[in-house]
Amino acid sequence: MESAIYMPQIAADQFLGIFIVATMVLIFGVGYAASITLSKMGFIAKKWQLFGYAFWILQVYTLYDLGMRIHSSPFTTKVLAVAMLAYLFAPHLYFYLIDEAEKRYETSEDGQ
Amino acid sequence: MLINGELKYESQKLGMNYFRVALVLFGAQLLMGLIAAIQFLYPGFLFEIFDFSVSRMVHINALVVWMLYAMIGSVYYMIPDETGEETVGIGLGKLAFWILTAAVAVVVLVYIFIQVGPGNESTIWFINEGREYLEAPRWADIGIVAVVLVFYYNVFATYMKGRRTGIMTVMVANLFALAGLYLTGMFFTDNISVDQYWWWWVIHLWVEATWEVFVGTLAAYALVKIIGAKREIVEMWLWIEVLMLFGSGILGLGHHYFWIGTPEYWWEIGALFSSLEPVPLVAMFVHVLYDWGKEQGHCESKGSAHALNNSPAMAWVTANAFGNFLGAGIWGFFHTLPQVNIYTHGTQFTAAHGHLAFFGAYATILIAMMYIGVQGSYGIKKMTMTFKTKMALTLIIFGVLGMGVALTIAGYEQVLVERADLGGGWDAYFIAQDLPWYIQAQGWRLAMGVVTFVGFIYLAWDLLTIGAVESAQEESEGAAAAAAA
Ligand code: HEM
Ligand code: HEM
Ligand SMILES: [Fe+2]
Repeated sequence: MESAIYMPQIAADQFLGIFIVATMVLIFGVGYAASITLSKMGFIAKKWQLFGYAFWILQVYTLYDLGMRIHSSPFTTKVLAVAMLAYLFAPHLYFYLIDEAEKRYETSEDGQ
Repeated sequence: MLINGELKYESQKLGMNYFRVALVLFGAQLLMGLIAAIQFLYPGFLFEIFDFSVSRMVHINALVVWMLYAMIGSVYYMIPDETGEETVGIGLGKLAFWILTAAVAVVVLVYIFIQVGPGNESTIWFINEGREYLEAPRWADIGIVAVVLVFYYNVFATYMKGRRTGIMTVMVANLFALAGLYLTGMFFTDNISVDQYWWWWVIHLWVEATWEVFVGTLAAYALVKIIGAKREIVEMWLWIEVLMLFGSGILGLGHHYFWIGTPEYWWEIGALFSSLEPVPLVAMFVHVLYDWGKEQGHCESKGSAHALNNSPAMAWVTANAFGNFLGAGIWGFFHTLPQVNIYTHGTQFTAAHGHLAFFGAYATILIAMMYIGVQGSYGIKKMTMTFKTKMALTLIIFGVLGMGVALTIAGYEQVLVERADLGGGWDAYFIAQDLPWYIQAQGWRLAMGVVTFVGFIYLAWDLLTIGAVESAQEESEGAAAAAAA
């Protein structure tokens, strides 16, 4: 315990909150990815993509909240912020790649 | 699963043999789990006849072994489909299967009958090597390595000979890592920190890296096979998944190095990388739904109703996409930060995660592969769900989820009472286990375990009968159509 490692202890009564917020981070993350995917698939109208971004914002917020609750170190906080930015672009990168692959596929031979 | 007359390749028949043994071991695993669960409630149950140490050990070793069997079976099954070739050393492969199965039988008997007594160098060789999940004695370890070498040679040589698809390329490379990692758990050291350090290389780098990639590969294969997804797209997803899984999973290893005497820099490394591990699981989830929805859309626009040619398998693949995210992603993320793990480490919370993750990520997709195998064995063009399929799906999923919730409650009680309130000492450990929240949760776990087991009986029954039922139905439909025309 004498070292300079950044590892604050957490009181037991904060635990449930941490669990719930940690879950929300993931749920909102799936929500974001799912809304973008479903609208790309045409299951839901394009305008629902906006809700996807709302999920992403909620995810950023809950992740920030989680970071506060567990007293994460300044460095970790920065990395998490970068990760969230990457996550914002990730689905768009996928679908760009898929569209490109599809184009190539369509122009090559039909079937397997 | 009883016959496989319609299969053209010996490799696929061998795969079915692996599935059969896997199913038996799966049943044995669950029985052992039930005994262990009863012992949690009534510690005297079968005491000194069939101790908890034994029932728990057989439970989790059978788990690992049945999954490895089903994995090998899946590979032998997909080789001819992917490469267009019969497996090169099929005769050797069959021999290896029988040797392995005989060895497993001997090891299980030794587990069950000979486990009490002093431990020394010879018990490591003949009785038990003593690493959780991988307890097989050393002679068996060496035998396993020999069998796996035969298996790997078969996969590799067939791959080199036949068509080299992207799916098969990932499979061949990943299997090399998967098999190689086993070696890191095979030597003896009397330093517990060193021992645990290497043991996690096997366990973690299996379930959170190589096995996950394996699942990605199976899902890709299954999507091409079941819904006719476009190979190029599926393979592109697969490469992205591989990148993300290895990128986060390898250094995520650090989340097991918080408290075992390893240097403290693992705190930061483990926390950072392992908290990224759920991201590829989200991607895999999205991928399955996206491909399915898209093929369904294609079919509807062409006027043909259904894109699926095997709905039981697809149901389990979907369960896999979701269960992987839930058990490994959500339950894993819960306790992966050191600030949280210091409280949850080694509680029933860990057990909740272990059950949900192993089931959600692996049991599900391996069951799907068994259904694909049955479909091929009976030459069924379009396999639909029977009543038993639905019962198995419902009861097993409900049962495992129920166990997960019960264990989470027990774990939460341990966190609050044993760890936070009482400081986590020896007495605290036992005091926490005597409180009603804990005991009731263990009761519910047992009840849900029984539900799971009933579901398993439906599953086994369905796998044994669905082939005959569905192919008869297809024949009579074909006859009716011919008569009408
Ligand atoms: C399919 C994938 C996974 C499986 C099968 C799995 C399974 C398990 C099992 C069985 C254990 C208990 C090991 C023991 O006996 O000590 C465990 C521990 C752990 N798992 Fe996972 N896991 C998976 C994925 C994940 C992911 C993605 C994360 C994090 C994001 C994670 C975080 C952890 C942590 C932190 C522990 C240590 C718990 C403790 O300190 O007691 N796991 N896992
Ligand atoms: C009939 C249903 C089942 C029952 C009653 C049951 C019961 C148990 C019990 C009592 C333990 C020992 C826990 C401890 O030492 O604290 C255990 C451990 C374990 N079981 Fe099960 N189990 C069942 C099904 C399953 C299934 C379906 C899986 C996965 C596919 C599974 C995977 C595991 C794992 C990975 C562990 C080790 C967990 C750890 O050390 O954290 N079990 N089980
Ligand atoms: Fe891990």
